[in-house]
Amino acid sequence: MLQPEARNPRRDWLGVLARAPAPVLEAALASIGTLPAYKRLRPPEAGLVMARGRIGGDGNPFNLGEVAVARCAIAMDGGILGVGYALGRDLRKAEVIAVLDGLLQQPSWHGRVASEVLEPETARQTQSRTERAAKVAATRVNFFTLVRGE
Amino acid sequence: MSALQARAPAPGFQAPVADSQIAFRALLGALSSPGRMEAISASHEAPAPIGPALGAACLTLLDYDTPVWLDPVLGPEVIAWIAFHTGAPVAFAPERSAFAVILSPGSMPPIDSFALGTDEAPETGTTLLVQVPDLREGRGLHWSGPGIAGRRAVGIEGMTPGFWARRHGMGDLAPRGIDVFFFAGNRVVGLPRTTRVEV
Amino acid sequence: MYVATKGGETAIANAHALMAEDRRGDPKVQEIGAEQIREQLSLGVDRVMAEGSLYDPDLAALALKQARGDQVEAIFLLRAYRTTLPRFGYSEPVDTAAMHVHRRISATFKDVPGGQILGPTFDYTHRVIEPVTAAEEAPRSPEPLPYPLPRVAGVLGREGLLEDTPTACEEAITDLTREPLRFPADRAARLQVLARGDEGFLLGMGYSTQRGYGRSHPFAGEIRMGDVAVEFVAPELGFAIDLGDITLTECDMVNQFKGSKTEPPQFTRGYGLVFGFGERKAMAMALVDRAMRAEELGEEVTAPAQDIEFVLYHADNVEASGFVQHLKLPHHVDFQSELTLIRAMRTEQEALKEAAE
Repeated sequence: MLQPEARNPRRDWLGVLARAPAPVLEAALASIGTLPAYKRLRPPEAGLVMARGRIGGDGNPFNLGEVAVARCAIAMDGGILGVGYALGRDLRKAEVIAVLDGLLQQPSWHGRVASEVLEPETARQTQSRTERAAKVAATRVNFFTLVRGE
Repeated sequence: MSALQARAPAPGFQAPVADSQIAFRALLGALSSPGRMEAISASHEAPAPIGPALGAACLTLLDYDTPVWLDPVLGPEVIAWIAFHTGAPVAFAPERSAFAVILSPGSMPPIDSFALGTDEAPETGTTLLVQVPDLREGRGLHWSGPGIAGRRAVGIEGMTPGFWARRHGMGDLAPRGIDVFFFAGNRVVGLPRTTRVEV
Repeated sequence: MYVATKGGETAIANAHALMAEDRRGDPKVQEIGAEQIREQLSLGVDRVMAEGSLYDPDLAALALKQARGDQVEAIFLLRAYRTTLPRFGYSEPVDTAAMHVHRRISATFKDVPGGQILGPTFDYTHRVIEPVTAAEEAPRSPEPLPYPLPRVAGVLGREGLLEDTPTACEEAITDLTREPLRFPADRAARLQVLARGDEGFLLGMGYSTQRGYGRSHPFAGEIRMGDVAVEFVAPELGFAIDLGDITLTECDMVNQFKGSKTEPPQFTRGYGLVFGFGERKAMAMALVDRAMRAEELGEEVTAPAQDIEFVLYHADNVEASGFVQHLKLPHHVDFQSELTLIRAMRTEQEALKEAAE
């Protein structure tokens, strides 16, 4: 745990897809055209994950409260497992993520899905975060000292 | 890229809510009428040797909160299927398990080596899910107790005399004890801790 | 004796219809949508999520609409809804040090590393009602924020003037959604109750500690609000993935502590963490968390906020509301028996009085 983990590209793309708006993912899937056949291993479902915090921010864990999560798992030809997890209860979004995850694991699809979906969406997320951070940064206090006397 | 590919296990319930309700109702019926045969008609694709009823019971009863003891005869495909669909952690010690999946009853650990529960929390006793070659009503050992009018003869093929003797020898632990489900094909019979079996 | 009574079905159905009509208000006024509530009444939504103990802004907005804006009723709706959902498991503990902050202030250090970042605050507004709330684009700073922002606690911690938080790996972390509250309640259980506890109750209890009922000399060491990733180890993957981001408010309250036989004089800490932007709640939670540590720190337990059982048993507004409001359910038979008893006692007393005369 203390060792810095090696980059896990699948972890990264699942994070980007989870944060992507559903219409963006839906449009991306539509633009890909004919998809390989897949079957639902775990049909899309909504459920809960108990979110944990740490006492004092850095101490022992405690249970903070639950977050709503949608998830889905599919099997693509060749037995590739695609999973989708995202905050909220959008079942369709979870299934689309699972399909994209299945495609991204296949060399024949990876490049196309990465360039058509992942890269623009990663850029959009970075852009929106940077924009917000710039507005937050504008509320930083710049103290100045009034020197009295000599 | 191939190192990234994850192998998919066989599908679980296709209609998880309805299927698990159907299975739960059958399991409840089996436990409230010990020895009476119930059929579970919930479809999934559990890998062999897990049969339809045992598979449905696993999908219905196990979750991330219930450590499960797995029969050593189970292969990686079955273990992966259970882990994927239920999220149940594997319990390596029988006495630390909430459920036990048993397919070779002839070589299973002694029944009293599983968790018996406590007087304060008797529900924490292990529930055994045992798959046997066949189940018969009307022939076999005599069962009696709550949920049975008089006595009922029940045949559980594949259970050794040693199992019944050991269970009998546990005596009256109420409210603690171990509940058992026996499965064959799509059928299930329940043996709650309160049932007496003449040996 | 119980007397079975039936009836009232029509009255109940009609009462619900009347409530629905009143909820809609004047039909000439445009109906609001849950999206408008989520976007424009977001702090109300945040409170429903925090005390409903379920992070789902769409659902909380819908609940607020259905509850006619009644927070506790909306919280009740959310709590009821969550019982219909399966539990997938537990997240990894959220890393608030890696928070993408929207606000971060410290009352203890003016020149806190990273600076005092005010964010979208009501503080410094004049509290004058404005007929029209302006929606102008907020200015941007060319200077980026230095993420991640270091914790203020780290600054004091380096000098050894601040107590360490225990980091021993506990075997099982109490989860009050799965098991009943038992005493003595450990700090993890206490924080779970406070995180979903009623803001008004905690505010009152926190306030009481400042007014002398269990005085603990608090300073707001750090308050931060922002987005944090929720990580979850999916069993089929075997590694943690991000489920998305949630907004949290965290308060690290620093309290004077004169020391004990085993501990040198130092600062102790109270902790608050809540869903959404809930600064008042996070601060009150931190005050009450610290107050409940009185016994652990060898302080005299004299005040209500230091009484763990008192605080934990009365912090939940769904429970409290249920028990208070059950009094309006029919107690006709109970009351009749009391009435008979009082009349009998009266008759007896009058008879005794007459006999004495």
